Amino acid sequence: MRNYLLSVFVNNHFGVLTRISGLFARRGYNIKSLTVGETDDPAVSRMTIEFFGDEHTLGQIRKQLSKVVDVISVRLLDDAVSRELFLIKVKADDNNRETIKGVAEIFKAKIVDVCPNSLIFEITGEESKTKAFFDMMSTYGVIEIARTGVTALQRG
Amino acid sequence: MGVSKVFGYPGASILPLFDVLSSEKRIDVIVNTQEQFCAFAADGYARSTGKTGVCIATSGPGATNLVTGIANAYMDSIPLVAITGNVPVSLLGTDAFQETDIAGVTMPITKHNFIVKSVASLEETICKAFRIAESGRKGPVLVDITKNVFEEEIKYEKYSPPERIIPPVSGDINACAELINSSENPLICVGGGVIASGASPQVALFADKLGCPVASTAMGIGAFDGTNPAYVGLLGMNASDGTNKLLQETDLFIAIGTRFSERMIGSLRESNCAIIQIDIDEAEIDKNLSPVGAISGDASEVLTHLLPLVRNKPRRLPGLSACKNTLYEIINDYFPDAIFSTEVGIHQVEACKRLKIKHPRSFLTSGGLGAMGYGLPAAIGAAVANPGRDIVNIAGDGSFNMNMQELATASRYSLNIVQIVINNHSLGMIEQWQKDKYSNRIFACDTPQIDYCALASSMGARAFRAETKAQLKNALESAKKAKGVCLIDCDISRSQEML
Repeated sequence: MRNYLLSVFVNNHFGVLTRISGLFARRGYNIKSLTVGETDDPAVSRMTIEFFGDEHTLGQIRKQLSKVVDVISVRLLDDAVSRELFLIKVKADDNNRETIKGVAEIFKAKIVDVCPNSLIFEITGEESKTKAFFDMMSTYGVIEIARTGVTALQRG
Repeated sequence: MGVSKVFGYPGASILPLFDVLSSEKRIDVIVNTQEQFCAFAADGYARSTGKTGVCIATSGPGATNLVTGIANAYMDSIPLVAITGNVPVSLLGTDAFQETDIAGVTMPITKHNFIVKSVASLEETICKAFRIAESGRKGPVLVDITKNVFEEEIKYEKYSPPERIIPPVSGDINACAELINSSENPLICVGGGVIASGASPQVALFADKLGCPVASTAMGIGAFDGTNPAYVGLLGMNASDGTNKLLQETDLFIAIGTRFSERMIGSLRESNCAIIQIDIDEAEIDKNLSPVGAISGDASEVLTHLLPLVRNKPRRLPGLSACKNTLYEIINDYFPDAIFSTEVGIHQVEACKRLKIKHPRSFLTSGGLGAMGYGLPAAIGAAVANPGRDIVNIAGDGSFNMNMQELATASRYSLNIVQIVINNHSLGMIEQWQKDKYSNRIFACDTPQIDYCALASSMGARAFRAETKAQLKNALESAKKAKGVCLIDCDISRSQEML
């Protein structure tokens, strides 16, 4: 069992997201992350789906997805550049703001909002980096986070 | 699209279409008594002919009533196009009167569905709907049309019917042929895919070459001649012990056009035999069971590739004990070439096991969904499509109580249907389960007392009551001669010999 990344190219019209997410829900496939956006061709969207499962499930998901009328193609990303964007709101006041900022600089996280009692950071990267940053920030107190989900491209 | 009969029920949002159909000479509209029966009848029409069935309903409750019929077609891979009206596009999403998001509702039970909001996309959508329903693994497609579309105008050019797309054959045909050639004791199992593909002639040649027995799933009944000595009957949970025992002896199970439903794989898992799987839907390969060899493609095309590669084997057929003479054999004797439909329950299992169906598209049963109430409307669909043939629906009283008003539909269109109610005044299969699994706590199984003969007469059908086999034979004799709808209330509770 491990994480897999799929790029699914679909017709860009309403209801397609429901069809895909519904398929995963119905068949009990475990989605970790699903992102969707238009490609260079406005008629086509790319969905990046990250799921946790075994090879048999991977085979089934690829075949079941290929049956959906609005799916144009399904690609397994086995050597991919993957990125996710996090927004993290952290408790920060005059006493520790500079310390937190210092940690954030190491991670190349950007401050996008400053308030007397909090900071919002924007950080982009692979899961290992974003998770490590999140863990560090947790020691100061994370108020809330928002994640975009993973998007990815096959290398080469 | 080549459709000459549709099954529909009018309502506000679909009235513009009915208005057009009223003067359309090329299409007959069969009006059932409820939308669910329209869907089942369209399904029976499709199963008995191989053409796509069409059902039409209005928005809201009309559309939701189709749902069971659509799910039934989806589970059994039957080509069906369901057309629903919806409220005008200006009212969509406002919870207007009789507005239901039927596309949302039917998403998991259709191959695909569409909402048409403008007449500009109507023609293309209808073409696509038929193409999807008929291509690859067949199934239902729903087209939801908002009412404004019917009132819009567009220049219309006659289109040619869409081409059915048959997926290419893929898989290791040579390896499968080698497995077959080196097996000593193969067993062929035919499923609904053989019927959908029209592969019965190839299966017959294949079985003859291998000299081996042929079993069937519920959906495959009729794909292989039931009177052929090589035919060993239904496999799986509801099969006879003799047929399932064959699985213990076989070293290679050749499955053609079956998805290994959970009702049949239990006995297959126990046997541990190697499996070759042939299926048009690649996603079915390795889904429920892992085969040693697999070919995806249309059964008929796959067998055409495979046949020259397999060597003749000596004929080796098991001697299964002859069936006893139950009601089903008697019914079968009177109607050896009929199209049979069934409802769901004990009678269905018995019919699957005992009727000797010679031809494909002559046995209509709700296999995957197990929808009580399917049989009579399906028989209506089959009767509409096959005016020259005898159509017999075998029902239990429980199932008949779900669709009895369709006798009136059958009478209204003067269809030749024999409705047999195997009447035990109970939901027999439920009772059996409660006896076996719930410590004999029989509950909620009584069926209401209904005089089916009086009921049938009131709906324009001839009626016979049979409490003994002799009476049954008389009734069958009369029903066979009679034109129109006949009902035989076959009461099996009064005489032991009837069981």
